[in-house]
Order: sequence, then structure tokens, then C-alpha cells
Amino acid sequence: MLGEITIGQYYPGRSVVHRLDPRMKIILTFAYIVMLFLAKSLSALAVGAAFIIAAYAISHVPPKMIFKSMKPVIPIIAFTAILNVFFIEGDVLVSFWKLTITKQGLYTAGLMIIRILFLIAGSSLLTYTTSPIMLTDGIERLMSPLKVIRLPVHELAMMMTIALRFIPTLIEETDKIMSAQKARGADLERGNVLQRAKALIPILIPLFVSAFRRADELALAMECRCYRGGDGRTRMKQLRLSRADLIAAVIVAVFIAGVILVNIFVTPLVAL
Amino acid sequence: MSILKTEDLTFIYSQGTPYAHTAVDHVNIEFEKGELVGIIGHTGSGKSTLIQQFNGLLKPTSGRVFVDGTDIWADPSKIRDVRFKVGLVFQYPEYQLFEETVYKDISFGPKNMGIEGAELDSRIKEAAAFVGLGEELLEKSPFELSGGQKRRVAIAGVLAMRPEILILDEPTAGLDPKGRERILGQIREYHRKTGGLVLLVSHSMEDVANYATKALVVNESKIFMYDDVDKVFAHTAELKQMGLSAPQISDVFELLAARGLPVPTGVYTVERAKRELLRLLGKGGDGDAR
Amino acid sequence: MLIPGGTDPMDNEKTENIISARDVEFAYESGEPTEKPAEKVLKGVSLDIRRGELVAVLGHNGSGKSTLAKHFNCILLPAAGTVWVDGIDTKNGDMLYEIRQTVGMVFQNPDNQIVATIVEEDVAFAPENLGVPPKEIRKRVDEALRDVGMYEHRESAPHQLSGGQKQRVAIAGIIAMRPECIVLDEPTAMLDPRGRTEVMSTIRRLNREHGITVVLITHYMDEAAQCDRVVVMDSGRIILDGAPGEVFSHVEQLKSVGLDVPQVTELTYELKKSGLDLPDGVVSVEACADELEKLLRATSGGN
Repeated sequence: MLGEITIGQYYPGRSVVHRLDPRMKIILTFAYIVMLFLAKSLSALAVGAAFIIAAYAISHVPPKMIFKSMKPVIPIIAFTAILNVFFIEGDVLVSFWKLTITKQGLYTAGLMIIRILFLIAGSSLLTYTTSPIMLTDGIERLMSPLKVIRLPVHELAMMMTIALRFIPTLIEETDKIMSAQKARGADLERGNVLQRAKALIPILIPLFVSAFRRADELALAMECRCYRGGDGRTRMKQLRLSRADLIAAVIVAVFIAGVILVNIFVTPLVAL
Repeated sequence: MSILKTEDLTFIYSQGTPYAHTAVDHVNIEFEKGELVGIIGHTGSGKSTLIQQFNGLLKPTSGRVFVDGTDIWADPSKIRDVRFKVGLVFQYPEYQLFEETVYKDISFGPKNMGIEGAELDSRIKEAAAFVGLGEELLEKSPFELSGGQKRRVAIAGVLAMRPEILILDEPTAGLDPKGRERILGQIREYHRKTGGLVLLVSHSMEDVANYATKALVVNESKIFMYDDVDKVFAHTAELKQMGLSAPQISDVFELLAARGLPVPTGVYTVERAKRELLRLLGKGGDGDAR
Repeated sequence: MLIPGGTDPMDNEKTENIISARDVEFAYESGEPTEKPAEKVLKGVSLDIRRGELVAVLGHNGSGKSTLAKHFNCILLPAAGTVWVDGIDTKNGDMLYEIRQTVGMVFQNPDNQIVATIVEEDVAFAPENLGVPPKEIRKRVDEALRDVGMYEHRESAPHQLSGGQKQRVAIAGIIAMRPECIVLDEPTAMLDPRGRTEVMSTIRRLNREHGITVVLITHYMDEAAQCDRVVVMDSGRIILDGAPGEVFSHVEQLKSVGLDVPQVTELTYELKKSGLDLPDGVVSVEACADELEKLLRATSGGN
């Protein structure tokens, strides 16, 4: 049951997007977010939208995955949209009780909704096309300059890797503990919030104890394999920038330029 | 009337998806009260799924499970009660302990049944005695105990519910020979005293040979055979094909029979083998050297 | 032969013994200060492990076998006595990593040794820690995975593997360090029969084909029977040491220390006690059948 939850939402594939260097993908995702916020109008946003739609097409990740990624955010979007629709001053369209809907309000809300939706779509593309290991690798290498300010980059990356490694194992273990306690009559479904929280104790305590024991044993095993922190460590898998990475960077730069140009020249013309 | 019965029981994991897997395939078995059944089968044969059908942890995809003649899913809202009648001890049960004291942990099951007061106290002490836990351990934290002791606490936690049917999934997993012998001895004693049905899932043919009255062989989600232990172990060739082993003695006698020697079948314990061989070699009786 | 005498491990330039222990004593520290000293888990153990040997250390839980094993790669240091690995005293803190590279350790729980999200990255962990160049790591990882028969699973995630497969990955992770010796602390205790067979055949092959010294800590008789030499421990001391057949013939003694003998060993022992002419130390089904066949044919004069 629990084992069917997928973590990291990685959608395996061998497209160009999948094979880009994770460091470049992370940087370009940030660049894409900047692109979206540079867009001052719907027409400018359309450029950003075109970029991400094309990227999805190249990655062969099915469109339904885009909607899957957006689902959890809908409540937030709805809330912010309502704030914008009702509370921005301008040319009034409709008015009832104390609430007014203005043309500007609608436009701003629309702009914001689209921006957020495409932001989610863009960052989801990152996690869909980059496996958790590659992501952690990419983050670790990008952060390594920060070692200068004593940031424990290697240790943080090691923590992330180990966490990712043990998530499926711990999920399996939780399942087993739940079955064992249910076999002794534990009732995890009935009762109010407080009762259900109490019913979780026979699950959480064994899980915590087990997690600590695992950590202990794992640490010992790591030491026996001569682990001594990040100093002097080499890596079997090397990240190397390829031509595809540079081309991707150029494409994103072009699109950013496009957004700016549309802002300046197209938006005043079409007023959208 | 059988105490536990299945009718055309089937269970399919992930039904309707490309990962669908039939773990229990139209199984029909009947267990009588008072049996101590060893359940054997290769890993992945469906043993674990099958036993979780017996206490209602898993709902059958189709087919029915009867305890004491009643379909356990007749009233799904009462399924929890079934788990008090059919006690299930999982593998490595020591990993489920959570209470502050051994006493409190053992009380978890019976408390969920609504038992309290003097009745609760006597059940806890009785269960602890069954597994050989001294009273001085009752007030200790379960986390202070050794692995073997923890396991016995977990088993006591199920025994305290006084289930009519007791199922144990590899209760000796990971234990050394002394530990194995102790736990199996306690299970046998429990079985003798309570006269209920005990199902013991095991990978050890020797353990099944020494402790069980009947053996249930599960293979590829189906039942291969359910019969008295010696009848089951006579099928050494088929058991081997299923990836199971037979007790060493069985193998020896089979080799001897294959070489044309007049040895009896169905011998799988050292005592019986010794008796038979001494008889054949004309030295019948006990082991007095000439 | 039964009690290990010892040549001074410091005698040879390249020592004949990969591991040597002399009069080792050890006690675990109890949490609170008590008046009486903690019970000694090791009470004066002396042992030599020769290069290339396949040794089983047999004992019930609490006999001290795991504690002894942990002295072989400096997880524990002796309270009294000395342990040498490749001629180096384990108390020498400077040589800790050299020792751990020489003697690798595999533990009981298959899950709690795997650190990476995919198999080949986990096997690369040790060489990465040692600063081995990337191309060389790749070579070692591939070789190690092939040696344990897990090359096809190199891109699998740990939770997709069976217990036996996980343990083989753990073994590969150690081999990638190119150790001279592997100590396995009850590696099959949590595995099903198939997993146990996989692990046993893997370590026997590594010992035979690569000459890696193997020290197997176990309480399973049938596993000890597959080794060249069996050392039996009880209450912190070594009580028997020799070839399997010889050690297993001490049936009464083994039973008295909470161990079991294979059914065939017990049967031949019992029959011998009853006056039949049978050898000591029968450990395999075939050998037992052969001996019984001889007797049966002799008595009945054929069919």
C-alpha cells in the first residue's frame, strides 16, 4: 500500500533533456524562473510558456504529468487569485456587496495564475528528467564553492543521498509495523484527531528506534569502508558539460531576450 | 467442524495494473483444532500473503475465509475481532515493541480487546510464563533486553490475547540453535496446554520434522500438499524441485533406497533413523555397545 | 592442532598469518558505574589466521565470536593482549585505514550496509573514500560486481533486491577495496535458504579463485562444514580448533555449548556409540549414505 508512493517523481527516459548535465539543468531552471518573472504581460509570458512546452515535448514526458504536478498547488493559486481579483483598483467591471471586480484585477490575477502554473511546470520538468542521485550530485557540485565559507557541502549531500536511499526501506518497514500492530488489534482508522494521533504511537516509536539502529549500523559499515568525510574523496561518476548543455544554455538565453523584447515592443501594441 | 477453512481463496496484488501478481491462487484448505502445522514453501510462494488472509489483515480478492464456521468478512466492520481470535506473530516481531515496560507492551493486545483489571494482569503473567520470561523482567524497558528476550516479549504480546488460532511466521529466524530450540519448545508446550490450532511458517525442514504434526506445502501460490509430516517428507524429489530441501536424514534414506537397500520410507529424524538402522543391522534395541 | 600454539607473528617479514591474536581479553563498558567490573566477553583468546584460509568461527550467541571478529579490523581494541593484522598492531591508530583496507567486514543486516541509491554507486563507495582515480574505480566496481554475480543488477535500487542479493552487493563493496581478508559477521542470519546458499557459494569462490582469506562468524553448522577450518568458541574462549570433520566429531561437547551438529553427524555418532563401525566427523549426506551402505551390504551380504 504505502510502497506504491513514488518519491522524487522521476520519470525515466533517454531524451536530450534527461541527459543534460544536472548542474546545467538546475541553473537553467533558475534562469527559466527569472524569465517568467521578467515577463510583464501575458504576451511576454507566452514566450516563456512556449519554451517550457517545447522542453516537455523534447523530453517525452507525457503532458498529463504536467497536470499532476500542478494539482497540489491549486488551492494556493485559487487563494492568491481571489485576493488579486477582488482587491486591485481600476476599471470596475462588476460590483456586489463590498466586493469589486476590476479589469486590472482580472488581468493581474490571470497573469499571476499563469506565471505560477508555468513555474510549477518548469521545476517539475527538472525533477521529472533528473534522477534523485543526479540531482543531489548536481546540487553538491554547484554548492562546492561554498566550502570556502565552511558550509559542510559534502556532509549535506551525503545526508541527502542516504535519506533518499532509505525512504523506500523505511516505507516498507512502516507497512510491516502497521501490520504487526493491527494484528494486535490496533485501530488506525477510527476516532477523532486526538485518538488517531495516539494510535500512531505504536507505529512511530518502533520506527524511530529502528531508524536510529540503522543509522548506527550504517555509520559503522561506512567507517569499515574507510569513510572519513569529504576530504580526499574521488567520484566514480564524473559530471562533464557537453555541447548539448551549452546549446541549452544559449536557447534559454535567447528566450529570455525574447521575453524582454516582447515586453518592450509587443505588449504596448496588443495591450495584453 | 474445522476451526479454519478457506474456500476458493484468491488474492491478487495490484489488481488491474500491469504489475498484477496472484499471490494466492484458488486455495482450499481445512485445518482441524489441535493440529500443529508446519507451513513450508520457497520465498515468494505466497505463504506470507496466505497467513495474512487468515486474520483478516488482507481482504481476499475472491473466495472466503471461515473461522469457527463463520465467514470473517461477513461483517467487515467487525474484522478487528477476528484478529483477536487468530493471533499472528510476524517475522522479527521484536521490531514492533514500543511501550515503556515489558508489562505494558504485552498488555497492548488484550487492552485493545477491552480487557482490564485483574483479568488483564493474569493474562499478562500467563503469557510471560509461557515464553519463559521471569517476572523480574516485566518492569524493565523492552529496549534493555537481549534480542532473544525481546522476541519472546513480542510473542507473549500475542499469546496474551488467548487466540484460538496462533500463527507464527518464522519464529526462529536469526536465532542460534539454543534460541531456536527454546522458542520451538515453548510453542510446542503452548500448543499442548491450549489444544488450539498452531500454524508455523518455517524454512527449516528439521524444525517442521521435529515439532509439527502436519505439513502444508505451498508452491507458486497454490497448495501442493497438506498431510501428515512423514507423508509429506516422502515426496523428497518433488520438494527438491520446488526449491525446498528435505531433512538430511530423508536425503540419506532416499539415497540408500535408490541404491537398492531395504530401508523404510518416511524416516526424517535422527532417533527414528537410528532405531531403523540398528534393527536392520541386527543390533535392535538401545545403544549398548557389544 | 586443537589449541592454536603460535609462532611469534612478528617473526616473518611478510607474515604467514594475516591476522594474529594473543591472549586477547575484552569487556563491554556498562552504562553506569558499578562496583564489580563488567563481565569479560573475551577471556584470553589466541588465534592465528593464515593467508588464504577459509575459517569458520562457530559459537552460540554470547560466546564472544562477534566480539572477537570486531577486533580484526579495529572496531574494538583489546583490553588486554594484542591483535596484529598483517603484522601491524591494531592499537596503532595511525594505521587504522590501512588495516581496514586489508581486512574488510560484512555485517549481518543486508540493508544497513548499503549507503547509495543504486548498486554500482554503493560498490564504488570504498574506493572513492580511498581516493582511487575514477577510471580505476569503474574497473574495480565492474570486476567486483562480476565476482559476486550482481553485474546485471548494477543499476538497480537496493530495495528492489532480495536479502541474498543485498549481501552480495555488500561483499562486492568490500572487494572493491582489494582487501586481503574478509570477515563476515553472521552474514546469512537474516537470509532465506536461497540467500544463504548464494552468499556461501560467493565467499567460497572468492577464497578459492582469488585467494582472499575468509573468516566466517556463524552459528550454522552446515556453513562451518563448508570451510577448511572450524574454530569453536564458548564463554569467551576457544574450545576447539581443527578441520570440520574432526571438530564435529565432538558431538557431546558441541551440544553442551548450545550448538547443533548436522543430522548426519549426530546419526553416525549415535550409531558408533551403539557399537557400529563408523568413522568420526561425517558431515555430508553423501558420505553418510556411503558409510551406511557399506554396513548394510556387509550385514545382509548384498540385496
